[in-house]
Amino acid sequence: MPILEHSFEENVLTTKVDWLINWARLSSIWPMTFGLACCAIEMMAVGAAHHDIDRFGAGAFRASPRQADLMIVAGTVNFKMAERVKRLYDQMPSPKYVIAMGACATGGGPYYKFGYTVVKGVDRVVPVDVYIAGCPPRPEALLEGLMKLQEKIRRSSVIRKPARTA
Amino acid sequence: MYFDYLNVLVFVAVGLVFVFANLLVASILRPRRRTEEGLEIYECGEATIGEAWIQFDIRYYTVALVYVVFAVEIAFLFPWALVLRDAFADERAAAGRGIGMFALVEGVLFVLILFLGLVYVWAKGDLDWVLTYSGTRYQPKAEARRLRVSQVAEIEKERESAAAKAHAPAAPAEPAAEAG
Repeated sequence: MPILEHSFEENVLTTKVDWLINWARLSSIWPMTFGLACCAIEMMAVGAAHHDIDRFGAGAFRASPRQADLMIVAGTVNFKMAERVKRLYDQMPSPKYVIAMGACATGGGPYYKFGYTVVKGVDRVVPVDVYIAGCPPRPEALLEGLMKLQEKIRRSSVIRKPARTA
Repeated sequence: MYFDYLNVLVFVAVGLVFVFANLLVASILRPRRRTEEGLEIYECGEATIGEAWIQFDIRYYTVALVYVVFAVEIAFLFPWALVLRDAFADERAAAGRGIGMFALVEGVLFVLILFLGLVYVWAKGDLDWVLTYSGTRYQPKAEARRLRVSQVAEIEKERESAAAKAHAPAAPAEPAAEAG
């Protein structure tokens, strides 16, 4: 538990501080260098010049989970890989986010019925923030997923008390 | 005159303040959720065998040192070999006044001296990998925790049975287990 997290009522000051922290977080979402299958090719395309994920501050693919904020699960997660995925997620420092990219990572995809080696969705192993449809998704789809994640971060409360949900 | 160096001091001071102020702010604001799994050694997602603080075998050191010596020798010999032909040509053109023969002898001498070193290391037995070694074999302290494959499969099975129960018409009205 950090010193200030979720410890203040909502007022002008805390709202502004939260806005600043969230802005800093969503402007530098560093993904982990981590591709499982063919979706990773699209992820590489997103990292390259044509689509240029760096426009969103998310172009610094880190080769270590210790420096990463975002895990883009790009591809089919089979049982053998699932424990590695789980361990890598555990080794990332908070705050951390997960994007399930493509049909396989979302829910097993084409392997849903007969894929006896495939985990039917990476959300059975790690908590997922954004799901992206497609097989594989277009690079634009991954960019939109990233923007959705940025919206989610923008709405989050850091030093404010969390919003009560009905 | 010394006043000119003041801006260097200011530069260093601002740099230090910038670094430590950021560290301070980050330590106040960052979430601190440490888990045993999170503090594991990073080994590309693999479960580590033992710890990261291991001692490398001292025998690597001798071999690496000998390797470095000969790598540097190669780095010296390449430019030497490239200019040697020209040096001889110059010597012929200048009727014996040049460094062609001298360069050849010097180069060969250089190689010979280093080769003598190799012979010495070899004869001394430092290149033998299997040395007599009296020590305890390294034992990892604890086996790393891991999510077993069987655990994931079990979760799958539970979910499937829960889903089947929810869809079956004869089954009692029971909400399907929705684990986060």
